[in-house]
Amino acid sequence: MSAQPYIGRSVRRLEDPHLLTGRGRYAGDVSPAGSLHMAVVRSPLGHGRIASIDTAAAREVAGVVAVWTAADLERAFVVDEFVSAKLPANRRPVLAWETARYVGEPLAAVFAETPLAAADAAALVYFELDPLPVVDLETARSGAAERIDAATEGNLVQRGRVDYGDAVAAFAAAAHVVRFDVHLPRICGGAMEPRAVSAWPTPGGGVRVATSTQAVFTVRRALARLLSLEVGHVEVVAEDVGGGFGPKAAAYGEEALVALAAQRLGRPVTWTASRSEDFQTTYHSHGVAVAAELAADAEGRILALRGTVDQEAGGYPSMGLIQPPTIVTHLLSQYAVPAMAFEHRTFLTNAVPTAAVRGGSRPVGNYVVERLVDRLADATGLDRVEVRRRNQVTPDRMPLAVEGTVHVYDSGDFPAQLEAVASRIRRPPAGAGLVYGAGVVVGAETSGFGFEPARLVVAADGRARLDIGSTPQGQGHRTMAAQVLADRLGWPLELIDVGVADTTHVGDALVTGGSRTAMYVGNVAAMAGREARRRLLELASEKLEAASADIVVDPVKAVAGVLGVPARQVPFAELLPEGGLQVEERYAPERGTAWGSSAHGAVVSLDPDTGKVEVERYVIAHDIGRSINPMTVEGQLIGGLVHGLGIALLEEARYVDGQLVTGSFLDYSTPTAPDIPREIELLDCATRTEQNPEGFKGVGESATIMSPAAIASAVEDAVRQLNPAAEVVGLPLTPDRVLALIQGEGGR
Amino acid sequence: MSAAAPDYAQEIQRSAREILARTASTEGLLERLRAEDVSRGAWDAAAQAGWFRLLSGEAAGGLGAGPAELAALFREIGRHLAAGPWVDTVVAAGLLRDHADLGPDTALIGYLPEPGAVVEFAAVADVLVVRGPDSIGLARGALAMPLKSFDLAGRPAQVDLTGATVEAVVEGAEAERVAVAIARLARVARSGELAGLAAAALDMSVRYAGERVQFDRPIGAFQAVQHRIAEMAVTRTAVDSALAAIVTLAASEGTDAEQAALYEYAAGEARTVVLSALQVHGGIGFSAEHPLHAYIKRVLRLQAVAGEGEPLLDLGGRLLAG
Repeated sequence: MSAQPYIGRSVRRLEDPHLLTGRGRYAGDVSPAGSLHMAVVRSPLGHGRIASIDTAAAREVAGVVAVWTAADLERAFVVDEFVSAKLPANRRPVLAWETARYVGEPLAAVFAETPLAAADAAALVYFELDPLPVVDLETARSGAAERIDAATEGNLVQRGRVDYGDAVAAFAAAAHVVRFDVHLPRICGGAMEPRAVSAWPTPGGGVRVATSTQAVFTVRRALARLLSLEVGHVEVVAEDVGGGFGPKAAAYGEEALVALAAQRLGRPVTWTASRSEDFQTTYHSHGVAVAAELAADAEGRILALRGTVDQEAGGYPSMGLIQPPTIVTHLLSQYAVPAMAFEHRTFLTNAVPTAAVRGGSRPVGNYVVERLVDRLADATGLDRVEVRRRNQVTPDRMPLAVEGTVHVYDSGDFPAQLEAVASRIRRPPAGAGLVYGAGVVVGAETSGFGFEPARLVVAADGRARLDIGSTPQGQGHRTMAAQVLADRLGWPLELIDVGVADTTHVGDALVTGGSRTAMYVGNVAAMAGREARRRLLELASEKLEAASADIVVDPVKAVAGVLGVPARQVPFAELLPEGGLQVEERYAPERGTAWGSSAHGAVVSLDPDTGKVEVERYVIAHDIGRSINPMTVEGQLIGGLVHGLGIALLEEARYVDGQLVTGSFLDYSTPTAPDIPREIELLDCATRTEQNPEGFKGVGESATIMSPAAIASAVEDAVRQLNPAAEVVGLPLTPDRVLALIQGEGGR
Repeated sequence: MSAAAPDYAQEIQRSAREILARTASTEGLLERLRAEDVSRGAWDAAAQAGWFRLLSGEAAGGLGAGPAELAALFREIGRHLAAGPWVDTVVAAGLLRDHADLGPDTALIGYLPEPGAVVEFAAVADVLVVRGPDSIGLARGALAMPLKSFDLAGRPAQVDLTGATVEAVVEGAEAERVAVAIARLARVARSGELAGLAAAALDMSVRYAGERVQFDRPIGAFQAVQHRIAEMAVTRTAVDSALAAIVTLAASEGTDAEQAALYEYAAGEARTVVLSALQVHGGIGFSAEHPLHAYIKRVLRLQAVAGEGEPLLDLGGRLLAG
């Protein structure tokens, strides 16, 4: 082992020199010379029956090579792998068949020698759409809506229940019952890099695809099925990705179109979404109505939670279907909840499908329960911190299995987090025309599922090459994996290279999402390092006729020797097999979920005249387990906080009559530099988890999950100084909504 | 390389100037650079004149010329801002024609010194030459990914060798020798281009200072402009001096670091000249409506090729100071 461990050190990111010197290559840059350019003809209606599509004029445009509609593709469709393939509605046409289900849904695709020719021809594709009634969440819930999918009665694509304990008895016996009903709007991922994809034929009859994705293997699986190719003949790479945040976890129709065109036309093909296309067609998240009640005893101890979650899926089912169960799980927050009765339903609606955006709806669950607990404080007259204190799961009760669920609170000192934040958050006195508010909330995050692979080659010159299948979008996979490998292999960081996001490097891998990468890739990197070290020592021990424990490895000189006998050395070249020492590992634990947790505190200022809210100070006490690189952890926490701030104060993707009216960054507001809190304090409250060998927990989404609740609580505190009856319900807390709260018009 | 007669370089320069004045006139320069990737007229004339066999041995039908002639040729290519894969075709292909059949003289050649390197005009190249670990070979089936270029006379692309086959044409120690020679002579060629660009910018400035009238006098009558142009002439001379030193080092097989340092210096001085020219032109040329714009960007691009910065500059300064 090296003298100083790398895990826990803020080493500079290995990714940055490449990006800072302008060498980053995004999918739109990876376009072979002579590529055809794709333009997509999209539905202008939220819901319409396709009466006709006429492509004759488009085909006449100079430079046009092909124009496709669904008929040309034998009704090709994508099956979303986050949803059961058995669900009849899980068939997303690459080009719409009979109806268009959302604005922006692809109707036809044009392939031409230049982007301008493609755009000109796309404008000459004439189509007739007969408008159909638009279904939104309200009409879908009423049950009276037009059916969007023939096989889906009542537009209901999923329903489920979470039931444990005796909620009925708990509510009957409760001293206090508080209620919170909210409809949280859709939000966008808002990645800087819009979706983009290029594909070209490979000599063996396959295709190579460069795409902006969070999951190269997900794209490969979808394309192999569509192109009727062995997975080995579809190569998918994502060299650099300019933000994913969840929606890029899915395989998209445009990826299918570009790959199909490369295969059928035998030419390289490329497409980059315009910003408008990206807003309209890259999946959204949230779009969910929650009605919840909390029962408590006279001392303010939670007895039960009950209610309903109604989620919109959009036009086709995707990751949005995972949201309702996730929301219900995260209603637990850090609390001991003896009974729960929740029903959830997911409806098709005439809007772009919903997926996960940072937090994957965990922020919704946390927001609802933390608002309920603030209501409980109102009802009992207890301080908001005190009511939380009374309900937190304490370390002496861990591990605590939550009855009726798969969840176990495995670790975390929740009370310590709460006290650390509460002692640092004070509401300043009003002054200079501003009033202030403070809020403190707590929360927890499940992370970890599936498996991750790694392939390690230690070469004769001492360089170690680790290939992981995971697809980064700026999180720092290379740095993180290299640090873990360096410690477990006992290697200097400078001799380690890490390859990512390339389906030709490893067999199979899953998505970067759900805050799972440090846990899964981190653990598999450790496994590969340990195994390679074991085998290296074994080889040296045999060759040098010494006990393994007495072997000294010098990676820099690429030699192994015997402790205390400098003369006895053997170079790696004589030790390692041809092509280097190769190790393949796969981390696939039976129960791989760990709970990260944190307490958040916010201080906001409020201008009573304009309704403008600014976050002045923010404190996070976090437990993400063993921190691999504190600098990147800090970046993830601050980035997550800013994302949550957007959800709390700014972001709303709104449809009116099926039209997306927030289709640009002019209408869809995301946080920018002036919105970042002036003071941010991060406190490390790590505890050990036994859920994985290395003791890692998730961090990527952590701060997004609790920050909407913390900021809402602080805004409510501020508004109540002007209107003591005000209750913050809906988000985002834009100035008009805040003014309405101040004026007592309700903020829903 | 055979030793050519000393005045052979001047002969090459005269002939190149005559050919390029005819085929790559700087009248309508911007239109020419916008209209075609490669200055085709110049390219075909160059093939006919034997420029692409300038460095090849006589057995391969070449002229067996050396760094001095190479520098003279590229000085004119720079002066006329002829676009095309000149460096890779004259230098890399020129040296390799002794070892392999690279097709007709008019072929556009790209040279990939290492995996992932950016290659000028790779997207339109007829032949891609690739330096491997132990060999230099011809790649088939490689994909060129064009990059955006701010240099109007450049068409950079990244080369993806996934799925390509490479047929070795030189191997082992000979490959190493050829690769080193390519690197050194490519530096000579680029330095020559820098000197030509600087000379052209100075000429343009002198002409403009005589034409542009302010306060009833050509601006060249004002001392401030005269001094600036005098400084430019001195700096242009420094570029020429660096070029001469680079040529000498290439001929005497001086170290790579010394040559690289001098290149960095030459590029910095050439940059000073073109940016001064921008001042003399009263800022015209800052945007893409005046030929000077193309000269400035070409120099910036050639400066970025070195990209090694301060330590090399220090070394270059010491070398020039003797």
